[in-house]
Amino acid sequence: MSSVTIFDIKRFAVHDGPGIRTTVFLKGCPMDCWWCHNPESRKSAPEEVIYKRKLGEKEVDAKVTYGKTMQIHELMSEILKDRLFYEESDGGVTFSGGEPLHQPEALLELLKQCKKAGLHTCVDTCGYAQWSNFEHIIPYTDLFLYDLKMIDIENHTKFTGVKNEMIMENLQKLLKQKANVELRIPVIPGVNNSKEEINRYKDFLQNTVQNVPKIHLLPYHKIAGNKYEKLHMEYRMNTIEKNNSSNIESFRKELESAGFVVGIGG
Amino acid sequence: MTERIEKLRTQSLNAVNRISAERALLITEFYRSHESQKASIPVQRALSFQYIMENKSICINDGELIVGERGPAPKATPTYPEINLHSTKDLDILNSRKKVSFKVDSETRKAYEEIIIPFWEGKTNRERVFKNMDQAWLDSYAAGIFTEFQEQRAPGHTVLGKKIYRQGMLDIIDEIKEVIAKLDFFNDSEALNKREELLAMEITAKAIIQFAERYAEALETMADDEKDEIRKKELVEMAQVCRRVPAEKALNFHEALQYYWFVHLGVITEMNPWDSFNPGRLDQHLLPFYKKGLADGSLTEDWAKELLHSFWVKFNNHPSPPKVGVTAEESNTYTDFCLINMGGLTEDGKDAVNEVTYLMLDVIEEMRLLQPSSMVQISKKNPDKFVERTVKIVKTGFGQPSIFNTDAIIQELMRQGKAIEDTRNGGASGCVESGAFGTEAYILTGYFNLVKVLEVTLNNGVDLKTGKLIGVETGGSTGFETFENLLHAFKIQLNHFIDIKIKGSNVIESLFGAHMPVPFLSLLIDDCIKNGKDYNAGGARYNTNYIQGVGLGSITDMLTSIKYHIYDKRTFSWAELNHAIEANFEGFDQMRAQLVYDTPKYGNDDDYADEQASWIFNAFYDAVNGRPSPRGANYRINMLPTTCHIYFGKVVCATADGRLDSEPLSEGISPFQGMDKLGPTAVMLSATKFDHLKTGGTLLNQKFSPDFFNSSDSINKVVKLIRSYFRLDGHHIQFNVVSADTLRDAQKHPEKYQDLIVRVAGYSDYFNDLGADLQNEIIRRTAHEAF
Repeated sequence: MSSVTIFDIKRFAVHDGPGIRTTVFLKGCPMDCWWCHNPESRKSAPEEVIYKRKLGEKEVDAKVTYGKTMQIHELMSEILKDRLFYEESDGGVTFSGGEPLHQPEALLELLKQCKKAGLHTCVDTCGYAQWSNFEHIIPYTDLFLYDLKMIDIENHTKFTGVKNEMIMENLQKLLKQKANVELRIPVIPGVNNSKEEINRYKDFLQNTVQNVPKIHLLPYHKIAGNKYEKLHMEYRMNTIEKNNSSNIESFRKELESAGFVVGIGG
Repeated sequence: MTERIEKLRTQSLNAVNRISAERALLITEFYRSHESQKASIPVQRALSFQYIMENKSICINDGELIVGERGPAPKATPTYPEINLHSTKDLDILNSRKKVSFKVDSETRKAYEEIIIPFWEGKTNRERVFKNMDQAWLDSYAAGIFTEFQEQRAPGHTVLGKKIYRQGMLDIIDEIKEVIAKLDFFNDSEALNKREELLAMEITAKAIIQFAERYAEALETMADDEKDEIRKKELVEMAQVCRRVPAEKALNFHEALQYYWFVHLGVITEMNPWDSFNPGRLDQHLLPFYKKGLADGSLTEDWAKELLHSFWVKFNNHPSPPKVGVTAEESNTYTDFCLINMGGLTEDGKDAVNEVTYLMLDVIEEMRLLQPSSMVQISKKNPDKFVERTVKIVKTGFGQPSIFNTDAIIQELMRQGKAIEDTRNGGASGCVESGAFGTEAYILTGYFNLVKVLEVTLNNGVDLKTGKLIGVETGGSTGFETFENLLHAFKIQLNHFIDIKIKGSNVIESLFGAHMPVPFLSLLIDDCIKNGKDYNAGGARYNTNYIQGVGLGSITDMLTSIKYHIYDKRTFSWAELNHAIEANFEGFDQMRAQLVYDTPKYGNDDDYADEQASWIFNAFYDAVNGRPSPRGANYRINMLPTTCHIYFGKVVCATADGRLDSEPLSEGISPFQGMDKLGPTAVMLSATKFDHLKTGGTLLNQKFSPDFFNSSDSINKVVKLIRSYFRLDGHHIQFNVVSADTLRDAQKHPEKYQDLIVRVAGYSDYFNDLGADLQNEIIRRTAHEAF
């Protein structure tokens, strides 16, 4: 496997793990979250979109292709460009997506090469992947940023398109193997911040998971629906956004009272 | 902040900028006198200085601890008719224009009409300068190829070193007498000139002592009348301070500050030297006084702070003297670029951050004044705590302090042949200019419009705006068969205009040396006394002349567009591009969108574009670096615009990077506004592909949205970002921390944002005082939002 399909490279990423990082967004995702900030990440193949770009007051038609397939070595030279900044800040590279494990072989190769180059590596994952794929990358991954989007299985299926058993199992296995994990809960108003759901989180983390790591609550940002518009996709959050507000602080207090270490933000 | 400081600060903020005719009248009186005609030029200048210091009014503001004003009141700004003479029309415009105005009362106007103008017309240095410039210079100047700093102001641009904290003026007078006694009239053909210069210096040293004594007397009188016992005691103490300094060397913290302030007033009253005269490494100079005061109980931290507060207000009371030949639109700035340095290294190469450094950072944060400006020097040897403290002030969003790389400055200065101790005693001044404080005369000679030179190159030597031939006929754009042909022609034009610029600057320098000596400033800068030579004539230990390149980001993007679309991809032909440029892209939206969006751009760590930046940088360096001047200086380059990228943009038509006619150019070494799309690390890597150590300063501005700084983790990442840039030998970086929305709102409702200070380019200014085009340009600079 010598190529990989990505849809973005973000340099000076400061919310995706320690220090100054470059985050590589791999294209393709098995999930279909209503609130997804990167709808262009869903499909595995590059896609072409027509949009208008601004020239002062004027608008000019243009085409943009979301995603491109690159050789691993090409991507590596992009990643290495900010090496000095990683060194200075104890930062490194983060693979995100989409779901990076959706391209398991490319991800493994990238991680191996990053470790060979002496970089700190993070994998930002939704957890929805074959365990064997996790198993392969553990030795080359310094930190997993592991999303736990919902506990209630029905809601999970409704809002993300998949069941969450595999996600919860993989988390437990990772922790058992002593992988370095940071748990991330995106707090989506009206979706996963009800009292019942918070209790389910507490229950799951207290009774099922051993060695619960630090939990990061990620605030939900309304994103402009215009990305969806560009892609001719439906933005299903509109009605939910209108009727709910986020109360991330009370979420934090609930989890802290249950004895967990909680931070807000990435 | 104590109540009295609050009051002084408010007084300073509310004081109306006005023209004071006092200095102009005094110097006119002096030069009219019979006495003035008998002396040599330096002695004449010294006597005129003495006359002003003896007769100018004394101003002591309520509650202040450091005394002395340049004019009769805060922000009452003197003029310098011997350098540049304001016409009554100038005065009317200054009085009435909306931005950066100076009120002119009827008495002042009358004094100008009846006394000042009739005497000085035809005798000013500005007229002398223009009379001596040749046609090529005048044409290039009119076309906006370059500006000339010394056309309106005297060559200043230096910063004080340690001298005044070690010697009183009486010690300095002894030093002068010793040098006079040793003059060799048998073998030294310069002996007489040296004697005159040294005698002039002695006169000015005595004049500043007399000036301080006048303050002492006034303070004693005030003390006698003062009812409040606490203030009475303060006034008595202040009078004692003024009796001692500057005659004797300072013995305590208060005296050190007051000594400096008298010297400061002397320098900016003697002449109107170009920006930046300031105490430089103030935290280093004050440390021994601070320590001694705390140890013997004569000083507390709070009292030291209050003295610093009072000192800070003094700078803000002194706007930059207004120009002549002004237009209502040309707003300029009130800022006079005093840039106080903190941190860095000691003379013996150790971490210089100390207690006074942190005290001063507190003062800066609390005072939030336009002047003095402040900067931190960061060496790899300085602690992160210091950088963090700095970033925490930066995030409050008033553009101070700016951030400099000490290790780069030292290497820049050493490359120019300075002793390592002198470089460690140096720093940056003005906007970003490196200098050896106390030992160097480093004169900025003017901005140089790199973009205009390319425009002239593409048009066979013709100025596209006027149709006039001002360059060399190297053939037009359509004749360049290869990109290399174009670069070759550009180099010929560049050398042509640099020659014109340097020739002009050399003449101007000689005129100042011969006609406009500054014996008072010469007292203060080593080795003017030892050499018996004036600061303006090469008396300083080190002499440097700078030409400031402007528009690096713009010209890089233009050349990259040309290379990419015309020679490599052949997207369109020269004829098509020229046609679009001629039409200012009217009807060429698609082409313009391609130029703007589908072209590699400087600032994105893309070698295809950055190669042009390095090439231009090196071509400019080769054309300038090392060339000699009459006073024994060498020309060097630096890359900073102040606000000149706005003016230089106005003289350039539409350009190949998609920029429209008359729009601003890029500033400093920053990418063209909005073209950096990959964040600050990519900008920094692009901007360090050329060698900052070959300059005397580069300027990089970055804008962050305020949200970015809302966690200590983010602050720490900015600290590391700065450290990384400095590991790459970056010279300077500055952050504007204010959201584009805030700025847009401020444009609509200026009344709500009267205190909004933003970083312009190497200095900060009130947003309301900036012209609309500069405001827009600042809004357009990319904000690195919360990533």
